[in-house]
Amino acid sequence: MTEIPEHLLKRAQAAREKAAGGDAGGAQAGGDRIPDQLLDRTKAASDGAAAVVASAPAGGGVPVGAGPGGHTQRLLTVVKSGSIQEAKAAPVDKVHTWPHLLAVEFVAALACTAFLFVFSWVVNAPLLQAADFNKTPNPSKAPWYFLGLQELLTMFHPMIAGVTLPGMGLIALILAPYLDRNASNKPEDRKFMTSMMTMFLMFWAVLTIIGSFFRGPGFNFTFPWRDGIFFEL
Amino acid sequence: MARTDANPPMPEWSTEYQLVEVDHEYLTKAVKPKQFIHIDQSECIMCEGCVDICPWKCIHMVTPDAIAEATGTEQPGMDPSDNVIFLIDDDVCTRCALCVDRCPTGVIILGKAGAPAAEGDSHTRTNNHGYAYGMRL
Ligand code: SF4
Ligand code: SF4
Repeated sequence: MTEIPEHLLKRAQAAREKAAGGDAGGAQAGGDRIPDQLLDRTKAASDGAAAVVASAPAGGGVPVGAGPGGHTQRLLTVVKSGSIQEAKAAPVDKVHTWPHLLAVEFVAALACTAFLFVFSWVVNAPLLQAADFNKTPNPSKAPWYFLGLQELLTMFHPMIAGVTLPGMGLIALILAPYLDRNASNKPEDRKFMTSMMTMFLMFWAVLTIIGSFFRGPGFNFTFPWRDGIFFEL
Repeated sequence: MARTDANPPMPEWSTEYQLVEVDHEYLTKAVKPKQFIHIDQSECIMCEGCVDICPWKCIHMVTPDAIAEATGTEQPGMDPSDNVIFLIDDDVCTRCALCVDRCPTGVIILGKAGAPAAEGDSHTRTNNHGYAYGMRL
């Protein structure tokens, strides 16, 4: 019978009482489930209520369920040789891509398909009449989502506006995971990338708005309140 | 996404364990199921297969410094060749034996605590351990 030091017993006892008290106040009746506020891991750790117990011939004065969360946790083994994996002191939660991610993605794809199906069924979008090359529309505008690009074409050589700038954007997108190594998804930790994205969106929105509403016949600059709107969705 | 049973909350883990040696009577009092997972360290290749496969995330490979104090037994990590330790939450483990099947070196066994050691090669699955080459006995 091994003596368990007084202070360990006391700490474990205190943690047990705390867990029991929290249970009584909690809404749920699950005996071994501890309410959320007690599930704070670091707190449980600093309370020192954790007991890893090894099944070996020795006595126990350890209160039952003295481990984290009121559970009994056991030391399975101590491995001596070198590891092929990187071990961390606190375990990391890992789940498999299938089904946890792919199932959700599949459902999302189904939902998008269903939406498109219903949308194209309900919304009528016929082709216009056959084109007449004696009567070309003026101004001739791209769909709205290309008008930013068309606006760029008025400012630069087609090679720059049509190939170099979009190409640089695509390359930046490809490199994004390598350039942005910040793993946090909290907005306050991502000020730089948020401002970059905001700048990009503003730039593109301004170009699109100018291309949509401020370009008249001959794609010349105009004011919508003076000459009207030359824009079709 | 809604949480399903296939993705349960992890059991709680500490980084300041108090390691205490107990006997199997303590274990049988503390935990209802009579079967317990064991890992034989000598052939474990630390692939973390058992950690990955466990549906309840109740088996974990961590560094020995997760154990702050040891009473009545040697503290893991004192010996510099102690590389990793494996922990299990015996209240969460359902004894599904998936980890037993997963282990590529076959060093995980499901057995009774305190049962007399099997005769002969200790790696042989016997009735005593409840498992024989992937077949439950
Ligand atoms: S027996 Fe099942 S629940 Fe228990 S540790 Fe192994 S895989 Fe996890
Ligand atoms: S599956 Fe087997 S070899 Fe791999 S880490 Fe677990 S016990 Fe070790």
